[in-house]
Amino acid sequence: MEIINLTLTAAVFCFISLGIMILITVSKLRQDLSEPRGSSTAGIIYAFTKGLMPQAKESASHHLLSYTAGILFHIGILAAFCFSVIIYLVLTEIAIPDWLLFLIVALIIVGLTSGSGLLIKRFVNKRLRAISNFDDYFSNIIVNVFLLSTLIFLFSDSNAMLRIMYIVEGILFLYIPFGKLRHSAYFFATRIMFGTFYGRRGVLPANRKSVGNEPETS
Amino acid sequence: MNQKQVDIKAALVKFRELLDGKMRVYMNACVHCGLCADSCHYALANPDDPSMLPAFKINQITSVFRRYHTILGRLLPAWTGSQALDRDYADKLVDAVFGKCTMCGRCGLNCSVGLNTGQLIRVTRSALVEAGLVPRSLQATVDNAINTGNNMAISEKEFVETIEWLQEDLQLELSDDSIRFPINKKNANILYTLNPREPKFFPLSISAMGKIFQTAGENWTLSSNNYDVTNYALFSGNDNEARKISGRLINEAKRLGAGQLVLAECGHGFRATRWELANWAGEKSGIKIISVLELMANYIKDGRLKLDASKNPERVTLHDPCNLVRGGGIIEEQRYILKNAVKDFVEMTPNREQNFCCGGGGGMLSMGEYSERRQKAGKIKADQIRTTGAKVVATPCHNCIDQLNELNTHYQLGVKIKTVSEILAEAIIFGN
Ligand code: SF4
Ligand code: SF4
Repeated sequence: MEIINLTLTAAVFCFISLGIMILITVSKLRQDLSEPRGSSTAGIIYAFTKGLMPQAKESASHHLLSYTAGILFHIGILAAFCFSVIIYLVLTEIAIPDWLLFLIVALIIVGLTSGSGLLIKRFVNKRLRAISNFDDYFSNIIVNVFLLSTLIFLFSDSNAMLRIMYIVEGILFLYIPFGKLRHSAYFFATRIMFGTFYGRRGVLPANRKSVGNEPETS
Repeated sequence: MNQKQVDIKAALVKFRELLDGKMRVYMNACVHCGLCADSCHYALANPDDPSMLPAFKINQITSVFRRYHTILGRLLPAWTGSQALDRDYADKLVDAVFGKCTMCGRCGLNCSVGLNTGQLIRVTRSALVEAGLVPRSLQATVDNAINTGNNMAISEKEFVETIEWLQEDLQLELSDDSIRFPINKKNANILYTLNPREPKFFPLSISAMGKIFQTAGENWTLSSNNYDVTNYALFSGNDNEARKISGRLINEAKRLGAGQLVLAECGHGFRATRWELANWAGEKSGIKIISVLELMANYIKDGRLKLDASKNPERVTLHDPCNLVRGGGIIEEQRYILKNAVKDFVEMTPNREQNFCCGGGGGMLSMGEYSERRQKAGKIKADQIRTTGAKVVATPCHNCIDQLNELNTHYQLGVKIKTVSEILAEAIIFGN
């Protein structure tokens, strides 16, 4: 339980740090004074729905395998985080259904496979190597190690593995605010910016019937 | 660029100053997935050069951010690939942000997370301008606009004479002495702007607009000295100069009591005045600003122009200027006009907000030092045009026209390049 409490402390540190970063960012936002032509709200809704689909962006449609691996990797991470919460609940004697555990195992396996694939791609792809630094490699490795330790614990059910899993998770939480992994918070902020920009200017969501219209307000 | 005037510290101060909420998000957003590579015309035209990748250019910028504005970047720069800004690195940045990017924004639209690369590049240009590192040729164009009122340094006398000559010419062509090209008329419905390349090299596009206004019965005017729709300070990154240049149009429209300011066919000019000016000025513009494409589309919709599409029998395709379409939201108007004015209209693929930059954006046309790269990057557009089988390429932007004309020669496309208004004017049935 001591380890879990340390991990919990790291998680709190992580969330507070990310929260402060986002607060600083929000406090420095400037109002756009131009007259809107479309709707920022519609743009933001688009950014989190249709705009995330493969057909909306070449980074997905031209690279379906990497796009899918990326999504599965992130789902796996989420599953592993959920699992560590569940274990905490188990330790506090709340029953967890078998199907849920089975689902988590499956998601972590797929996530780990995807994450490892993306890591290998970063090592072998010349173009990707050119835009990568230690932080990129480490971020991927620490997350993969977290998934792996969670998986090993799931199969071994050993106390030692449980400790290792929480230690890795704690390190991960401590690292998130400092390196590339802080995109976990900035991703959402970026999508909001994306939606605001294209929505306000009437670019997205596409309105093929809009011809010579008067500006609308958002 | 003058070695003695370079002030790296000033660049860093400016960089910090420009780190508003949006920029802080963008500086932290790229996950280095590299999936934007196929979305950039530079990267596609130079597949073996990783420095052309959008993510590489972004990383060159964000590495400076990390070095000065993140804990890990300050403590362990090598770990995060952080980079101190010294003269050598500043030169590399100049090459990246001025010489390898047209700020077209296509990679951002297709980015995994949605990072607005164009804006990131412009902020970096702004910081480099502060250091005195803006390419001289680009700054010369801005200086012309600031000092003479237009980027081609056309004198007021020369301009007025050109307009009067065009007026007489159109009177003769249409056998109608009542045709007027009003200059400095008070209280007109419209103050119309021009790209200075029109009076200098392409007067026919002014005649075309004269015909359109005449037929639509519009109450319009030109200004004799504040008509330049272009704004190269959008590209240099100097907000003060950008505000002065576009601000003159607003002031002139108000001085003349015009009902609205109509921006000529110019992608970056539209974006600068319609979208960016209010933010540069820190206040709303206080006057209606529209693109001439919106106006022309409305004329057709309202029946103010009668058209005969058979007057334009050749196959026509359309090139979408990035700043007008992806960065400006004027997307369907040009299509609506062309579909009404030509017999055979075909889209190029991809199109609209997904269009590829022609390679002439970002001030590239004024920076001769990068012209070889510009031509090479334009191959993507040349291939797109060739695939359509079109004989005419319409584009509502004079910068794009210049670049497309060069591509036409370089890649032997055998097409004619025209503005949308030129094509529309051809289709007008007079006498109704
Ligand atoms: S903004 Fe355009 S030119 Fe610049 S990196 Fe992105 S796609 Fe390439
Ligand atoms: S797609 Fe977006 S997140 Fe990925 S490398 Fe390119 S700019 Fe960065």
